[in-house]
Amino acid sequence: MFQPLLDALPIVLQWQNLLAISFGTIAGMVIGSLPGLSATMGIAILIPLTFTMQPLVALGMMAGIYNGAMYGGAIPAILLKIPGTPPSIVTTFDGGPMAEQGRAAFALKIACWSSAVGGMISAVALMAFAPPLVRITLLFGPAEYFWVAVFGLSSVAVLLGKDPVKGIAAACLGLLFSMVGIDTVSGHERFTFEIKHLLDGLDLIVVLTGLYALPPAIRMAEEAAQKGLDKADLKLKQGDSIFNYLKGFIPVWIRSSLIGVFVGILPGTGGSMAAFIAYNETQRVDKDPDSYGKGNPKGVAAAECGNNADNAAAMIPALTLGVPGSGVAAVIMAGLLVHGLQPGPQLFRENPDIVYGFMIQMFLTSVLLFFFGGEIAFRVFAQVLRVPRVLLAPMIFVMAVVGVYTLENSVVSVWIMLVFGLIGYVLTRCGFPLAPVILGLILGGIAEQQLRITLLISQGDWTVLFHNTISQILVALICLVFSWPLIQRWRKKRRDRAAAEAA
Amino acid sequence: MSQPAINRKLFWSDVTVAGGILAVCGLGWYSLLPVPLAAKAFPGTLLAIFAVLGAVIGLRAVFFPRAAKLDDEENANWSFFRHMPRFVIIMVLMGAYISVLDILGFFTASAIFLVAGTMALGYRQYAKIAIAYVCFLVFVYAIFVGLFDRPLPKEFWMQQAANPLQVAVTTQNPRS
Repeated sequence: MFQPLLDALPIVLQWQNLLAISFGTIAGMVIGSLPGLSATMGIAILIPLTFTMQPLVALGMMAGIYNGAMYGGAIPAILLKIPGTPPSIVTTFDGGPMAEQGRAAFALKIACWSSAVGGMISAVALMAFAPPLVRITLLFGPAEYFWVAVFGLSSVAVLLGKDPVKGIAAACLGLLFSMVGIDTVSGHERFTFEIKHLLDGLDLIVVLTGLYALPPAIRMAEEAAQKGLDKADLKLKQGDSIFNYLKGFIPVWIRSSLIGVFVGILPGTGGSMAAFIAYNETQRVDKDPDSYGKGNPKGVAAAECGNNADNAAAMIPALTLGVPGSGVAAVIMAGLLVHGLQPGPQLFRENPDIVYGFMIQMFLTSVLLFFFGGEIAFRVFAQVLRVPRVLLAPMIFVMAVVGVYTLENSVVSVWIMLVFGLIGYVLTRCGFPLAPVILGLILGGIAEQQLRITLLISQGDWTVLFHNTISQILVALICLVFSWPLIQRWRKKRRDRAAAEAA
Repeated sequence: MSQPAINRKLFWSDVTVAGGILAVCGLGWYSLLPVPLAAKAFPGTLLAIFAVLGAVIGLRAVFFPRAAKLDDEENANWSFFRHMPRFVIIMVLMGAYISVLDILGFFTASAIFLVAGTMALGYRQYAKIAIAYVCFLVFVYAIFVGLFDRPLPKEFWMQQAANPLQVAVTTQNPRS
């Protein structure tokens, strides 16, 4: 189990890789500290930049952005009570009150240590669970792969957003986007509308950049905030020492990390859910639950640790099955595909240095949080909050344009990106989640191909899709995912009724 | 018990989205007509599911407007555009920027877009604009041109400078 990791270690420790993970972590912290910018967006903009790089260098940068941004989200969450990333909403609960009490530096240190611990435990889970899981996937045939694609898509579509109907519709849209171009089996054009540029299909990066980078930039332009934060807003008092609280933090970190890892492995759940559950559990078992929400350091520790423990764990289904556990994992998976690396058993067999190297990079970027986080993050990266958003929005547009243009040296690609930016804007404003669209685009081709192979082998017999035990388990899981919102509603009603009776 | 009020904008957005989805499905089916059954079975099924979901979104908005209730602050203040004039401005500028990218060259077009965009959004601190964008463009140049050697649209003055040379080469070598 450890040999592939040991083989990959010298490659990871090459200076180019170390530089990439350091740059990625710093860039991630900056991105995460800006409300409205997410790790997904940062990686989406970065992918075109990484074309000329070695795959492992590119992945190292993505791993750094991922872990860095997840921690960076805590900076505005603590200083301004504005979550930099969605999961850092939970950090505002106690981080905000701590800052009001003049303990912002301490809160940032806790967030830094907790994120690093959560990230490291998550990376260890990735190293431990991904290789055995990939051996199970060797038992999969085309029918099972079809169901895996449907399962991944349905779980992200149903569980990620607030509205399952819109989530499934977004997934359908993504699947339809994946059908654009020439059908590889029959050679017929589908959804090209006689546009020559669409014959090869939609470029994943163009769609990704349009959907993820442009809508937040448009939002910033619409809000046109003329002022960043004043220097005075970022002044801090002397912080407390983290070692005085270490005894109390260790059980919180262990509990929250386990929750984060478990939630991360489930496709479609994401860091927000991990942070919420970790926070709730910490509050539930604490002797003084009433102190939460009023500046309890353990609240910050639980939220940040749970949130970051989800990071590498979300890559477990992505690397082994090609089904990402979160939106960011989906984008990193797209980064793998861009470098010609297809997730699944083949990746572990043919490119062990890259896949195991990436696992080590996820661990190292978490370790780097100890160095770059806390005081340094506050003194350097938090200053990004002083840049007015009205200046940032046009820069994001230009970065998106330059990234997409350099893919094919084509302005048509830039126009397509703009169209997808508008589609992303409309979808976001109307409450459709974007991750299922991207996942649909990634999995659409696989799902159709595997379905057609299955039907070809069985000479058109549809029942073969349900013959195998693994297929039956997957179908049962899909049914569970689709019925999950109804189960939740039923449980909520029951809870409400019980509460009403008790009152 | 009084019924919660409904945000009309939210209601109309759902109805419009539903209409849009059905229109897209209609267009999709029409474009699939000449495609053989084996190639259109999967996208056709997806379009059918997508149409059903569109209809569900529309019917739900009309008959069960639960999603459009003013049940939280976000829904209560919801409107499609946060600021429509600024949205239009940035979209027009973005369109113009992409249109002139090949004509003016990347850095010229980007510099004009950055300054025009920021000023159109109402920001007037010229020194800050200059410092921020010069640093930004130097950064982009260093990364894309200096480090990764990515080809970007040539600046218009470099295009003009290149043309006479190109003419001279063509004249000397008529086959090229």
